[in-house]
Amino acid sequence: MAMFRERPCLGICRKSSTVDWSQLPYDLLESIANQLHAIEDFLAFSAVCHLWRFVHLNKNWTPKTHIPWLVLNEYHNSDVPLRRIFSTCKFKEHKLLLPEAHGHQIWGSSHGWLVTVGQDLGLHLLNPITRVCIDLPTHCTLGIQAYANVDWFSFIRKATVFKIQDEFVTMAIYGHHYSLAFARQTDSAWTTVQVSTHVLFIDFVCFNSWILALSVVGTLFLVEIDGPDPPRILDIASPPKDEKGWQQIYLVESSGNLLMVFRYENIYLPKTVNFKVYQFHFSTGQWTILEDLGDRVLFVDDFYCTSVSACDDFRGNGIYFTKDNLDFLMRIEQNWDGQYIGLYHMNDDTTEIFRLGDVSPSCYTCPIWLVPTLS
Amino acid sequence: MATTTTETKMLTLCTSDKQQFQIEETIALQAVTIRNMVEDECASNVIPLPNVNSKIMIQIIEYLKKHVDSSVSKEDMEKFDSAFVEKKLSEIFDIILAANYLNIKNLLDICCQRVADVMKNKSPEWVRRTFNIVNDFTAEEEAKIRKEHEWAFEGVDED
Repeated sequence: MAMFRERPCLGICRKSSTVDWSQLPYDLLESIANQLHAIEDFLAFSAVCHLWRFVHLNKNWTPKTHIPWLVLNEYHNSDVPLRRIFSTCKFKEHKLLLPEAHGHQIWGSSHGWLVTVGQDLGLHLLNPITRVCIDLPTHCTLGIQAYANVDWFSFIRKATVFKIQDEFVTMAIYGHHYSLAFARQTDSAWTTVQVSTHVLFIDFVCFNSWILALSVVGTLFLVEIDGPDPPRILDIASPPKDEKGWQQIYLVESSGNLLMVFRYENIYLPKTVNFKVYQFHFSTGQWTILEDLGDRVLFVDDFYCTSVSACDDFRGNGIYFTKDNLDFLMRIEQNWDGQYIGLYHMNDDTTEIFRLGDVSPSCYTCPIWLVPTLS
Repeated sequence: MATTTTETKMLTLCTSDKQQFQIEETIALQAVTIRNMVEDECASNVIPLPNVNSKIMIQIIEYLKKHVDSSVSKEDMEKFDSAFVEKKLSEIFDIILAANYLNIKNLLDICCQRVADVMKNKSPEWVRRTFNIVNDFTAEEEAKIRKEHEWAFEGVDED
């Protein structure tokens, strides 16, 4: 399978070292740790000795590239609920004990946070590795009383966490009107974003400390979260004219560029997915098509998208995507062939599919990307 | 026809074991520590490098000679780098210390990457054995660390 690069063989020089590696100055130890991109490898590193563990305890592990995980469904092992996690870096599955998110709806983010909502509509941030849990403001401050018979499962459409000037800001799209709201780390209530005309939001991204949002028809908006109260929203660009009939659209921040990704798919043939990528030019307010992503790799799903630079484990110029349309799955349950990660190659428009084991649609939850962190 | 010759400026580097290396200045100046010494005019004819021995200096000069050559393609340079770091870990250890002292960032990065690559998919026990590191955790501490993220230690390569 050509999906991931084969690891280089380093076997010839692995004879035990005669020098005393514990004499290595701490900053050099840190440099070595920061060349470990997979959290699994760093956890093994930090279990070697006290000195090496300090890199973990001092929160000095800041690798250039954080490879996202795919968070899958829950799995019961003798009545203990475990969360299936697929480590794309290691290409293997972990099962994490995560009672805090048992039976919850979850969304991914950078910075290691899952946003969770329970059946009681309680909203939290949860780091699945450290199991640190932070309360978010109550759903009541979202104007929920305006809706009769709120369905906990679909009230929050999507949510994620951005880091803006060293502060975590949780963004959500919620309610029947796909409205926008946000809550800073220190806020006791959600701030809802007012729009003068009716706009249904579908995605958002943090770009250079700005929040940009996308409507279902592909219009790009700037959300002024630090401006006057209530926050204003500015229409800054129309979608590219040539794109019609897409299945899904995503906003992605990638190496200092703002990208819009269009996903096209024949819903009955999941292997026929293809993507178009556009780059936004702030000077002209225009989107231009991007034929090549260079050494970048995008990870997209309906909830959270991210981009990393190619490394040993990932080739550039590709888009990793995952099965993410629950409504569609309900309709075609008969033909469903399980969860998968797909890889779309930009250079030749081809798609590879990697299946992630059998799971019955009844315990299905949308796979989501999450960038795992230890802090 | 008269030929013009541009005089190539040379620097002499003196290692900890008193070996002298005459190299072109453009090659040597890739090491920020040497560049600073030359710019600050602290350096006379001979630059003393008391933290680097001649065995390591030979390898570092080999690296610097390749990296000063602008005609080498990015791909070939990557190939050179990956072949360069295929050395014993004890040599990599010495090159890391020297690259850090001489302040040659890319060389330091590729050597740290090499060390990190050796550790990938390995258990802490394997890393301790390979890098000669004494386990200074008590049995209780070690058990606690393992338990905290048990999932991460499952399925690593066989020792």
